[in-house]
Amino acid sequence: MLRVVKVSTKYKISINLVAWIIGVVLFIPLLALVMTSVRPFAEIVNGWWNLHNAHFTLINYRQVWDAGFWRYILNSLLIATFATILPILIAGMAAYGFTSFSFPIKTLLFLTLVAIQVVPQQAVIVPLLKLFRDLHMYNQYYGIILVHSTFALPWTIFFLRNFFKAIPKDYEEAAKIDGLSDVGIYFRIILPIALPAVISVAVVQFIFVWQDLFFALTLLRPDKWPVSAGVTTFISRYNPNWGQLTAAGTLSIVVPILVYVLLQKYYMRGVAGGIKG
Amino acid sequence: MGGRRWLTKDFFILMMPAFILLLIFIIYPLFNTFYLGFTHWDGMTAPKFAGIANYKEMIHDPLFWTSIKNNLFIFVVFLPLVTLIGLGFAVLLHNKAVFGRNVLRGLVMLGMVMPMTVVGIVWMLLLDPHAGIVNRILEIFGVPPRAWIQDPSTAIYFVIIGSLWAWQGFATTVFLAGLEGLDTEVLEAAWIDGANAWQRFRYILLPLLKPALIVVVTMSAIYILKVFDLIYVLSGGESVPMYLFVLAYMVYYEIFYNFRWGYAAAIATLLTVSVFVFSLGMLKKMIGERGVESG
Repeated sequence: MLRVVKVSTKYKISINLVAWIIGVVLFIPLLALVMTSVRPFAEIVNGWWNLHNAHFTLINYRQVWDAGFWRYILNSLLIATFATILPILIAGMAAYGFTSFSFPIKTLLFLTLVAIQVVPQQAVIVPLLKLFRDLHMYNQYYGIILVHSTFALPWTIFFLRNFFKAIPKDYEEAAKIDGLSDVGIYFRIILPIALPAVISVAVVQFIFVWQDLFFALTLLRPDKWPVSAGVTTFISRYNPNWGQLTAAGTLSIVVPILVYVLLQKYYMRGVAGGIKG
Repeated sequence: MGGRRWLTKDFFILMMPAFILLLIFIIYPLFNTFYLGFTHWDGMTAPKFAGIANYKEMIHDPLFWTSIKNNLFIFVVFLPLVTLIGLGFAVLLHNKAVFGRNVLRGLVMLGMVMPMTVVGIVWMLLLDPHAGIVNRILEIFGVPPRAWIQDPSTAIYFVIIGSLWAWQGFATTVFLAGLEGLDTEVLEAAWIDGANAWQRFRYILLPLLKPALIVVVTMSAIYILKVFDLIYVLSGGESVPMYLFVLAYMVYYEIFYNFRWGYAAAIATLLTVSVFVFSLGMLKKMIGERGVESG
């Protein structure tokens, strides 16, 4: 529809001014993090924004790296990668089961899924610790990967089911005539068509697992900690070494920021479409 | 989609992995936590049934009341603020007169993709009495510098500000998606009919955005009830000072510092119940909307 409303220049300038002031304010925390990480200690106490006689150095990164920070990054990569791939495979299968079969307890299963997607991590941690000890899963990568994968299932099944429902049934019928089984149809036909939805789920889940602190602290010892927990080992309440702390912080966010920047469109869709929090 | 025959091998291959995992790692532990809340247990020996002893103990536990007070305060301040900020940013970023909207949308989400522990570090830096920019800016307005985080009376604001910076991106994104799905003709018709900005917002935009509003309020409520990372960050490797305790941290503390697993389970149960209570509205809507009838 044609809009016949004149937008005045004054309005345009003021609304842009407001928007960009907010943008700058939102950006300052990240700027502070990176700026502090590349300054020597003596300059940080005068403020990272103070560029008078500024020196830039990578010494903080060097120290953090030598202190073993790379280990946390490797741990994060390992946990987040597997805790992203596994739930997508499993949730996709279940989502396909929900879209293409009717069965007696479907309503019950569905209500269960709806309800458990808000279960907090704290709600399961006490029995999980016992279970992990009994099954020797404590401080094992696969233990925390399985738990993160399971917590991803409810919302991932929803998200993918909604997408699968929109795929025309003709594809399935044709595949069936070609003699494919249901499992075969899922892997060869449905999953490839649903790739955009799968990427959305993957980005949201990867970033979410990368951020997790609670399961990391409770299910792993420090040597297997991901960056979210590892970065806290540089915190000291009374004598903060801001250079090292911010260098560790910056190293912790490189991967998720990169994933986010490259796949922003998919991430936004995943956040708005699923109810991941 | 009609009634396909379901008792097939393929059906079970598709459904079983998901439901076995859910049973082992969520459903069983969830009910077990509820039960363990009625026991005394140190995590090592067998749990002893204790009735409602743990819940009775909460009433006399100052740490518990501090946690409740902090949770409530953070909740009451955070929830309206994050909703208003998200709505405001979304309306602003939806406006076609704003230049570089995609860059701004990216900036809004920055805090959302970082680990909350890093968000905590950033705000510790910004609020530092010496190296922090917040004190320097306040100085310009005549406010003397202070140690916001170290001061027990203001430390809680660190948690609220950090959470706001991190989470407003979620609220903004959901509202933006809501705005983009709107039928702009209604808005334009109102514009032509001479409704002013406030009337258009109050009587047309807001009702149309109700689904987005429900999601934002519910998810934000759940998010802030579970606040943990920003509290943990302040511990600096030891335990958090008592005045900063919240329920989620208390669960962690009772398990790893006091070895009272039964008590921890009781507090976890309380936290879970409150999360469910705040989710009811949204869950009911989800069941209605994506109900099984539609297949």
